[in-house]
Amino acid sequence: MKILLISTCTHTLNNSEFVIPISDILGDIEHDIMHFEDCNKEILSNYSKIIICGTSMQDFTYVDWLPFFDDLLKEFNRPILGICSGMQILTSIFGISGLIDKIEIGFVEVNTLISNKLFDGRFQAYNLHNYSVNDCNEFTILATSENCIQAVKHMAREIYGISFHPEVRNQEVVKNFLNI
Amino acid sequence: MNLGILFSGGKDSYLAMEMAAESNEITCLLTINSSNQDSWMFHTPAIEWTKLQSKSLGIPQIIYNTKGIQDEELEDLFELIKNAKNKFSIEGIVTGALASTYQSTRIQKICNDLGLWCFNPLWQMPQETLLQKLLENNVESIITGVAAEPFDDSWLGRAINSECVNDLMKLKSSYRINPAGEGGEIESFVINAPLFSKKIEISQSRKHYSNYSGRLEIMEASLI
Repeated sequence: MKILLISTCTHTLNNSEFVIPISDILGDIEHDIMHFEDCNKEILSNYSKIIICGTSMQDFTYVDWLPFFDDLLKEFNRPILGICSGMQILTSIFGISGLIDKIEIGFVEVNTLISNKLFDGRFQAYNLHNYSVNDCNEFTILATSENCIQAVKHMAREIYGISFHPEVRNQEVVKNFLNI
Repeated sequence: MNLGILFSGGKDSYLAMEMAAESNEITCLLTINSSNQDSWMFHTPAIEWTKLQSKSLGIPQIIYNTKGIQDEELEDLFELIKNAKNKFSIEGIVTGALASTYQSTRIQKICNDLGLWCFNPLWQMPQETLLQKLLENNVESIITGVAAEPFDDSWLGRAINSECVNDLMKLKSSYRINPAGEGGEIESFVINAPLFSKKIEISQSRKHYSNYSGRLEIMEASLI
């Protein structure tokens, strides 16, 4: 099993905040880190799972690259986890969900709606976003906070999106994803 | 990108600045001088001597005084960052936040309201890694505050060198101390580092200590 961590950070300085802590959770599990602009379909075929990491609240570059992500990820038929901006990318390309203005900064209470492989129950989770996603037919909503969708799963594939940052709290969500 | 750094003069804010300076221009130091020694947001020992660090770094500094009352100090921080944005055209803020969501959430909100980027290069970094990085990068700092058992007054003024790091790591296992002081167990002050043009020499200081809590008052210091 080899994992690819895809960075959505425009500034490399943000990697230390949004990508390296995910790498630390993976520990000894074999993985690589790559910025999305350096990825192509051939490279992705070497990995058994992909995690698309989040980025800064002011970083919206990934929004302009949605057609690129669409081409890059559509045929990747192994598990994918999108964190924050990663979730927004996944619901945008695998569903028809547009992005909506929803600010959450700090801890919110997350309520699990549907039993799933990543988490369960009610828990506190750290959020940091200006955008969230809409409900759409292609994804099941797994969890919500008072204001936002917090987690989704693709109806047919092992494609997950979480709004919250598991590198700050709830690291086991990443570990559970690795066990899928 | 032009960035301002929230600068307390300690090892974490210096290290965050050094990491940010690799690919950005640090145009100003932003310092809050809190008269509340127990402030959750701002670290207080030796803060008045950050002006020497500013001089050695060759980076201008804006200092705001705050009473350190919980909500008011956030308004003071907002004004400080807004002032830096107007005066130095900064596009973002760098902080030395490591794990405190209390601090980082509040700074993220202020930056988002002001349309500024917020960079936390040390975020979630294991504390042992941070201490090793300080040693590797030749950052010379001393301990200026202690606030936990079993720290006695011999720790005040002690250089954070490899021997000190080893001792801090031992306390991690025996006393569950956060070895880099993330829980407020120790405060530090950088006296020399790669970005400094001159070293800071402390010629006179005084220890204030009782019951596992103390600070080093720097009375006289200069650039050499």
